[in-house]
Amino acid sequence: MSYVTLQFLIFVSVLLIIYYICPRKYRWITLLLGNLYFFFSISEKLILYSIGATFITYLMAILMKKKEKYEKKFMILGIVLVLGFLVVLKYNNFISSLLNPLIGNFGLKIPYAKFIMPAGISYYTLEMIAYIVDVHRKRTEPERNFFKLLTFFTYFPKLIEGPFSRYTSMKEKMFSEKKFDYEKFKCAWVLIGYGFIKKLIIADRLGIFVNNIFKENVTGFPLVIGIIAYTLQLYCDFSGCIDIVSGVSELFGIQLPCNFRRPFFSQSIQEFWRRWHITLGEWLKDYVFYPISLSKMNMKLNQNVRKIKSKYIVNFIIIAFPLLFVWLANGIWHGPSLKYVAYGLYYYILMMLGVLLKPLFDKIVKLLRINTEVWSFRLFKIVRTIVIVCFGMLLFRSNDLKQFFELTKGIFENGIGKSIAEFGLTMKDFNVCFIYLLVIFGVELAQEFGIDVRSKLNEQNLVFRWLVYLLIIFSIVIFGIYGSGYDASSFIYGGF
Amino acid sequence: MREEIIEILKQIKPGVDYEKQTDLIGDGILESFDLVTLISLLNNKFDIYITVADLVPENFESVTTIEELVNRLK
Repeated sequence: MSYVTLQFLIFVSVLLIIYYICPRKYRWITLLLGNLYFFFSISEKLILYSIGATFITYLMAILMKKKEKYEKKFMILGIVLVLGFLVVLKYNNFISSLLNPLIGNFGLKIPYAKFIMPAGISYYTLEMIAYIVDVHRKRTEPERNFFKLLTFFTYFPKLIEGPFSRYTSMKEKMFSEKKFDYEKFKCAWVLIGYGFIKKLIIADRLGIFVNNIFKENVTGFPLVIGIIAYTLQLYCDFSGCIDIVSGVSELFGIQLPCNFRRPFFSQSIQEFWRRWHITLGEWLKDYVFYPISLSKMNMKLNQNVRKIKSKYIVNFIIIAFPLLFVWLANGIWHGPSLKYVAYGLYYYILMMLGVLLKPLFDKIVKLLRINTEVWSFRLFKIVRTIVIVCFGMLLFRSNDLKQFFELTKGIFENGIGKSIAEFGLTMKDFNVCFIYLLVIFGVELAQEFGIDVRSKLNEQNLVFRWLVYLLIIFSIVIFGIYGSGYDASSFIYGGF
Repeated sequence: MREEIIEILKQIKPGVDYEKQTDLIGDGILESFDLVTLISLLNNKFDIYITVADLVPENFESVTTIEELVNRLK
């Protein structure tokens, strides 16, 4: 069952009715049953993996509290077990392909196997690790009710594409006996509609064009347009899905964490990664970056490098080591392939170069008397960031590193003589994309200036509000891509 | 100790009136890299060991809360 099917809308509607009919104290149970039904509809008996992993997480947390003497051992055991599921199911063949050439010399071999992964495993595994570590750090008490923990980890709106959530912050929202809020309920539908516009009108439309561009290995101008189109497709697909699931969750009175904050307004790649897939970045910061940075080994390294006179070199060395792990983890999380490792390293190298070259850039700015506070310079930084991101997306979209290098070369070659309207989309399709991208841009620009667009809409008179609602509905119905040749249910990030 | 902590903060990010700040992380004055540098300098200066478990926003809101953390760990 995908988020953009009629089946899903019926499921949500039925669950909503049951949820609000149920006494407030027991509403979370209807959520649990809904979650399990949704999970089973996608993964069938693989749901047992997830229930098993939840039980291990639950048990380890309880044991960490009961047997404090062995607390760290139970924490490590819990992490190894739940991560083990993920590593075996998702990365077995990748690890085999890397290690077998080496261990083959000793007569050893890791067998290749084809595993089907349960839905959402890349997401809830990291959430389980976060929960176990938060119990260890005393950020939360272990949950005594296994079924409440299961409700959280299998929560259907965030199951397939996130956002990553923390039990510490979600449990109050999920299990409190909150009253029905009609105003928030109304606003939630606007967010769902907005998500559908991004997904069905823009992302799926651009997807047709992008697939043809990359299938035909074009060069020159059409390829450049293809790269930009893919970047927009990925953004609208992923953030559109997040809007839909966040809106659905709000219907139940549960606010999910924010996962995108207008990333294309970023002025640096550091800022970009604080605005794009925010919850993954936060997870990596809290559970990879900080533990490695603050480890005794890294602190000792910090002590030794302080003797170096240059502040920039010191800063570089201090963060280079932990950040390497962060970006490797970021890359690997996306998929069992060297191209994803390269994707992570691409950003790592750029960030480290930025730190190392900062004194030089500062000197250039001073020498040329560049005013860095004016809007034109900020615009330059935004465009520069977008170019860097788009190039990274070329790597992300390429089938492998070989195709990436071929296509990189292809950017600078002449086009193959075809116009962009010969890759599956007509000029009318491009116009539709352009108009709705302008709408998205307008909404995000308003938000960038601190305007809560949904609240502002809610304040308007009935006629205007309903005009907007009907525009959203008719836009989706008329311009949504529903024909053959694509699969609207294949959210890109659901593949991870 | 308070003056020493302010001195360390000024090394990391000069030009801020740390006496008046009450939400160093929430207001975006200290980011993740700054926090790591701060902790490293605090560990060296006061011969303490600040762990990840201590890395909660409440401990690094202001000079006062940082001072309280250092005193707890000494």
